[in-house]
Amino acid sequence: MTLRTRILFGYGIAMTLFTVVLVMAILALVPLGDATDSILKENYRSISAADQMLASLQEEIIVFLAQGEDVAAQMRTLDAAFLSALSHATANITIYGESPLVSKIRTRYDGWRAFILDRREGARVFPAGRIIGADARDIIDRVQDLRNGIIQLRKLNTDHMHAASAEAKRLADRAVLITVIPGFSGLTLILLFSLVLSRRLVHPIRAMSEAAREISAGKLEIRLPENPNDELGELAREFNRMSVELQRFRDLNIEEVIAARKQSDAVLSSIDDGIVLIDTDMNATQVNPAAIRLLGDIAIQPHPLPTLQRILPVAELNDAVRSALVDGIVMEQPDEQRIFQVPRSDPKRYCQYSVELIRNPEDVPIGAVIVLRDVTRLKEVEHLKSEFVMAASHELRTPLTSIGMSIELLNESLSEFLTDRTRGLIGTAREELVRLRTLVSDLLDLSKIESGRITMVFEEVSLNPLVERILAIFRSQCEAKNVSLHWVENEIPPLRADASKIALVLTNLVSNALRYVPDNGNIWIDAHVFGQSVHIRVRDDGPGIPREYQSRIFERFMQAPGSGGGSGLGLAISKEIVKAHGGIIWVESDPDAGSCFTFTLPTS
Amino acid sequence: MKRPVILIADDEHNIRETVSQALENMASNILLAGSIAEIWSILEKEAVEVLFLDLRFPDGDGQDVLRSLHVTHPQIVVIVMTAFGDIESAVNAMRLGAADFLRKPFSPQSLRQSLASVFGAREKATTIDDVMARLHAARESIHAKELPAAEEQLRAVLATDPLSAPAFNLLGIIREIQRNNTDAQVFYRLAITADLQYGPANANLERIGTWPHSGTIDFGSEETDHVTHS
Repeated sequence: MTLRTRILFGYGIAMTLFTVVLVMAILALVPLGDATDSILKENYRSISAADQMLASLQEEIIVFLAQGEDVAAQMRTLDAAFLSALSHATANITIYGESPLVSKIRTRYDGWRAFILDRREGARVFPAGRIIGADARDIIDRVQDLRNGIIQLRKLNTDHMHAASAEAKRLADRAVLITVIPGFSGLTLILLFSLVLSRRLVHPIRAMSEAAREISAGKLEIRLPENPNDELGELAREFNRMSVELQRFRDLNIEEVIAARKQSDAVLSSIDDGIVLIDTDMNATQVNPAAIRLLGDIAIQPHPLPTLQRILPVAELNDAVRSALVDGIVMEQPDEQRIFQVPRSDPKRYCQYSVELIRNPEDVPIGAVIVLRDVTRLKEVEHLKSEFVMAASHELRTPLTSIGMSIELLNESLSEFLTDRTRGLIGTAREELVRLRTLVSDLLDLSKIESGRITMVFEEVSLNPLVERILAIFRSQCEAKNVSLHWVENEIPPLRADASKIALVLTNLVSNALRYVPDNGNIWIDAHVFGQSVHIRVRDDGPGIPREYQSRIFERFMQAPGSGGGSGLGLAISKEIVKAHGGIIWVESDPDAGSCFTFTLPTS
Repeated sequence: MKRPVILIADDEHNIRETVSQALENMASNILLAGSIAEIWSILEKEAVEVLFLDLRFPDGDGQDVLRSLHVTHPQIVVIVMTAFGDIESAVNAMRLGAADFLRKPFSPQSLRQSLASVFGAREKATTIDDVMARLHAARESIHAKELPAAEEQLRAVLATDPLSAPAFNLLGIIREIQRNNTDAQVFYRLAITADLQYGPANANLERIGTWPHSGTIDFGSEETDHVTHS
């Protein structure tokens, strides 16, 4: 049975019950009205008629006995009143036993009237106040009889009235009973029904809302009882089906997630680089085995997650990750600035880190990946290399001194005996010696910069005077070659740089250009601001650099053909210097259309 | 200039050879030493006036020799030859009593000039008044672009007073004019070592340490000379 039918059915019964109660009440009340009516009709009139008759009779006796002047007239009036009352009583014969009583009264009254008429005549015969014994007895009897009859009639009616009243009361009681009992039982029934119905309705709804709460809390195995065969049961069934589907969906997802997680775990553990996953609160959520190897004995427990600061107390790294998470962008830093000494490592180990952000589909950072690469070996090798280069260039200085001294002394003592050709040979030797010296000191500079032995002194530098100085240095060389060196002045904010090192870069670039540009050529220096950095360019209209050399031009000892000497280290040194400033350097060159070297520096 | 007795001490035979050839016309006698042991044995026998000293020997450190010489043979003029061209080792050598320093690779000309200015100056050194006069003369010469003459005067001052801050400062200025900033820094720092309160050298060192070199060269004045020499 559906809930609707059930509700209709329940209230239908109650309605029927009340209809029955109503009908019964009406049926009970009608006889009550009848009873009262009949009391009025049947008894009250008869009683009043009897009273009237008694009164009239009394008057008649008094008039009769008084024997006044106008007896006849008075008697006639009284007689009419008596007869009128008697006719009333006759007309209102309603009760059993009333009819013979009335006829009896009529007969007796007729007898009485006849007697009176008779005696009235006779009264003229008898003087007043002389009623003889026999007559008196007769009068008394007759009046007594008549009175008795009337009183009987009155009593009959009075009794009957009492009986009818009792009957009416009985009827009223019955009506009350008939109305109250079914009424109350109907009310009780409706109350019970409503109670049952509300419980039947509310209970499953409450269960359902409870279940919905549990489901939203993730307890998808919740099921509702489906037994009632109504709309709520159907709802429960649908609800259960929904949670089954949800559960299946979740299980499916969990499997996929687990599979993906396993995959990524496998990838993470197979990677040689250390990987640390960081959440937005700077906690390390995952650390792969390589990272544990790198960082030493760090225990990663899930509760509470260790902070990055605890497992990797390296200020630069923490700052880099924090600012990346806050700003939503990873600050670019040159490689050397991302190397740190592993805390608590003995022997000392070095790592290079790089930070990548993990973003949600809305592009908001939800974490970061730190990739750690063990660069201890690399650093050792680099250290050894620069040690070697430094030692080598020191060692080279001694023979260079001897050779230089020898050549100079030869030149001094022999020049007057030498031919032009042999003097030329000595000139070549001197020139090459100068080149060798430059090479040795450049090598030393380069290895010093690379090994960090030259400390950069960063300060606010204005570009203009710096370039003016470079122009001054090259003025005579440019004049000698008839090359124009242009400084395209521009509004440039102060730079954050080591001025003497940047001057060296510019010197290298200009002297390179000067070596390649033909006579009457041009060299331009200009600078432009791009956001937080300044691009400084040195252009020339020389022969340009062949494409195959362009990518390797910044490697040491890499020289494009046609170079007029130089150590082959100038660009490598320049690159190192620019790198140490956090900038980059590159070349654009079209063969036959000149070259353009650009490097970037941060503004202060 | 009187020709001095010169000892050339370097573990490299070729250096000894070439240096001695370069100086042979300026010396009365040239002696050679290849090790610290040899230096001491020669010094015992010979009246060496000028020592060209390398800082590295297989049997020890040239700086130790410098330290001991300061005590045992204070009259010897020492010119240090070093392959480590950094400012630090030059300043160190000068502090330990060297009269001059040469950074390898050097040329015969620089050798001779160093010898001439240092040893020549030694003969001229006399009194404090003389020092003031020489500093004045050196400033005049620098302004007149006569740098060798100025250097000679300053060497003479240093021969009398090896810790003359104004002399070191002016030598630094000469090197700066010669576009030899590294040596200029050595002399400025020596001036500061000699007299921490000597303002001109502090100013010059600060100026040369920044780029572009802003400000003007501080020559110092007669008043500051008096202050630092009194």
